[in-house]
Amino acid sequence: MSTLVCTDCGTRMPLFDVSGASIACPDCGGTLTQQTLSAPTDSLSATGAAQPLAPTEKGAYPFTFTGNASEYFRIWIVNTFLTIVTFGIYAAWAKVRNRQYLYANTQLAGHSFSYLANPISILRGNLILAGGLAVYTLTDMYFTLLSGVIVLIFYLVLPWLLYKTLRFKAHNSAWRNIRFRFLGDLGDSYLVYLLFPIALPFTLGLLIPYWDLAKRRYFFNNMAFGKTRNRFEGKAGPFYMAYLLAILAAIGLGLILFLPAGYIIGETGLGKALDPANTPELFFAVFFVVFLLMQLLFTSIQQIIYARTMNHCWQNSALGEIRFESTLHGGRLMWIRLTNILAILGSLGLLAPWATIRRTRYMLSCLTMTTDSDLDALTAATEQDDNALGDVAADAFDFEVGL
Amino acid sequence: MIQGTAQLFDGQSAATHSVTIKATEQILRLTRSTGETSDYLLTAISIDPPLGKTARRLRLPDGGLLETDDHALVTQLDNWKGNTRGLRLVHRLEQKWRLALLSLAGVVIFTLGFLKFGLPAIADKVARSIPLEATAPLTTQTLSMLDKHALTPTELSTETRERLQQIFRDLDRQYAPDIECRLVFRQGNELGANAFAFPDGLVLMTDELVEMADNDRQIAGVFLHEMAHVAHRHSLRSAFQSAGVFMVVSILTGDVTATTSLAATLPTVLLESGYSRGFESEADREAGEMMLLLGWGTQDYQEMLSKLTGDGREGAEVAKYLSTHPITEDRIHQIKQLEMQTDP
Repeated sequence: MSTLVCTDCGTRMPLFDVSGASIACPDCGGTLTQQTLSAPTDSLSATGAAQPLAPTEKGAYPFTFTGNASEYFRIWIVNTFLTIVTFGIYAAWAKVRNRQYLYANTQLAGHSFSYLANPISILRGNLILAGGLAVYTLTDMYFTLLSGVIVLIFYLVLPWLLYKTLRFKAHNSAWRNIRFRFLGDLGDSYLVYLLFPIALPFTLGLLIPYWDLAKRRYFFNNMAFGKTRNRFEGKAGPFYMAYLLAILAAIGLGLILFLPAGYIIGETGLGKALDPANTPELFFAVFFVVFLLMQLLFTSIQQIIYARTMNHCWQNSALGEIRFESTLHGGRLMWIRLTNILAILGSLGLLAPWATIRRTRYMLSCLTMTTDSDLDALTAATEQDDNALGDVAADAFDFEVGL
Repeated sequence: MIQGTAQLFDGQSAATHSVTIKATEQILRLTRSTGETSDYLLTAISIDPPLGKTARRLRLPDGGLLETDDHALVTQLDNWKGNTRGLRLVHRLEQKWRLALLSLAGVVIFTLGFLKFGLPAIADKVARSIPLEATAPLTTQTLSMLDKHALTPTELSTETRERLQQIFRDLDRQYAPDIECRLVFRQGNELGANAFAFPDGLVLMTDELVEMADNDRQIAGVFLHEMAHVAHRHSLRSAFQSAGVFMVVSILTGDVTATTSLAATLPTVLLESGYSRGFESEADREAGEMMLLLGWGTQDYQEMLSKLTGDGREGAEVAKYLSTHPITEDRIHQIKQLEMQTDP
């Protein structure tokens, strides 16, 4: 690849479009000259037994997921057991292990991601959460009126917790030994997670799709890989369209589910039997089924919204030269979610790891990284930054709260 | 000496370098494709714990990362470094189906054991360690809440109230002499015929319940039932047990709740109503036993129970597990059993 090299001190800079203009070296004031280097000398001859290299051709790098359910089940159940017998203390280590399994099996261009969180930080988050819960419970028992104040305090602290968690998660995610970073600021977190929710009721919910966009922007626009910050140019239109489609789908599904039921109840005189005063157990059973169906319906339309908006967000992100292609299909996601729920309920939770693997595999199979320059450009994009290891402070003072 | 190949990521850029590793018990030598070598003390290298079949990772003191699929090589390094405990042991557990299934059995047995014996015992111990007087603010809180939202002052005549207060005092002296129970009346309104026991010994009875009763012995049965709740610290114990159930359910469903909240709420409701039914049965039993001891028999109490819960129609199987009270037939059956046992 092309690089500018200083003839005096040897400083190297990645090539910008300088069109032959002469530039002074930032280090010593000497002249920078263009030099074409061969590709990084990863030739196999020297060692004779190197691993196959990542594809270096231009174009698309699909995300792939290599985790499998039987392996993940064993990891999950062993760690759940250890969590139970340690009365929850081990939960932090279990979380790191489960998540690391998912990360380490997420492959991109021949290399997997890694999750580097220190379980102690997660334990700290768990303890904060448990302490908050204990304070709330005691207050609720002894000073019922004050428990409202605690809830209020919680909502005031929530944006800070979310901000800390985003930083923590990003800082502890890495690919090829380069950490991700979250560069958002705390004020924006308060805007998105406090002011927006306060404003929602006054807009009759019409602001909800825009709020979704604001949350995504806070995430996507502030993510960085090493020193390369992601640019996000998502628009509100597709969010509103996604909600509109979801509402139409909900009405359609609702009619399909509840119209025949209503007809049957009306025609057969079941309506009388459904009077809670007559047969409370039947009323209760029907109420339960309706509640379940409503939950499923709600989850379903969430999947439609999620698929469309996530596609939009990825497609409008640019990590330096890198772009993303996301092809999530709402119907497919809906099917996976519904069958996952049924499988988990039917297996008393034992199929939860299988469900996680299945959903993760589908989601990642829909994501592709594309870049016009070859992968060395990706390397160069972060090479210009010396301190790509990220801010160490994020590790020492941040924590994760599972919210 | 052992050797193998790995990929090196220097932590400065996302570039990858194929390297060979040679290691002895003390030193790891890394050779780049350029022929350049670096030596590291094995003690200065930290090795990520093994996880499934995923690549092994070695963190170098200079910020570099070595990644390799050569599990045998890294296991040997682990051994040399003496990393034999902790997560390596967890990894061994995760490898075998037999051990995973044992863990599953462990989860089930430990959870059920804790819910059945551990949690109730802890809740009981903690609840009894709190003096009744210390729970007075709880009572004041709840009562003022009820007074504000549901209850109105009693409309019972002064004679009725004084008569029942006398019965209540007598029973308290005989049943629980060490606890000072107090009785108050309120108009129940939407709460209907009902009685509550507060943690510090206050018993609240609604006018509707008094009016529903045919005689004072029926009311006395309810008094004893509520006094049993007080004596056995049922309200505090149930609060602590709820907290415990919440903890257990959230630990177990940590992953699951992401998928469906129903998966977490249903077991919580089932467990808590199960505990509550246990407390109700205990209070019924104590009330029945006391009435037998007083030579009153339990007929009046049985009648009161049927009156309070209508004609016992809520017998559906589903409702049985979700209800906070045992179904009336079972409650009456339990009292009858009691009578038969002590009768002969």
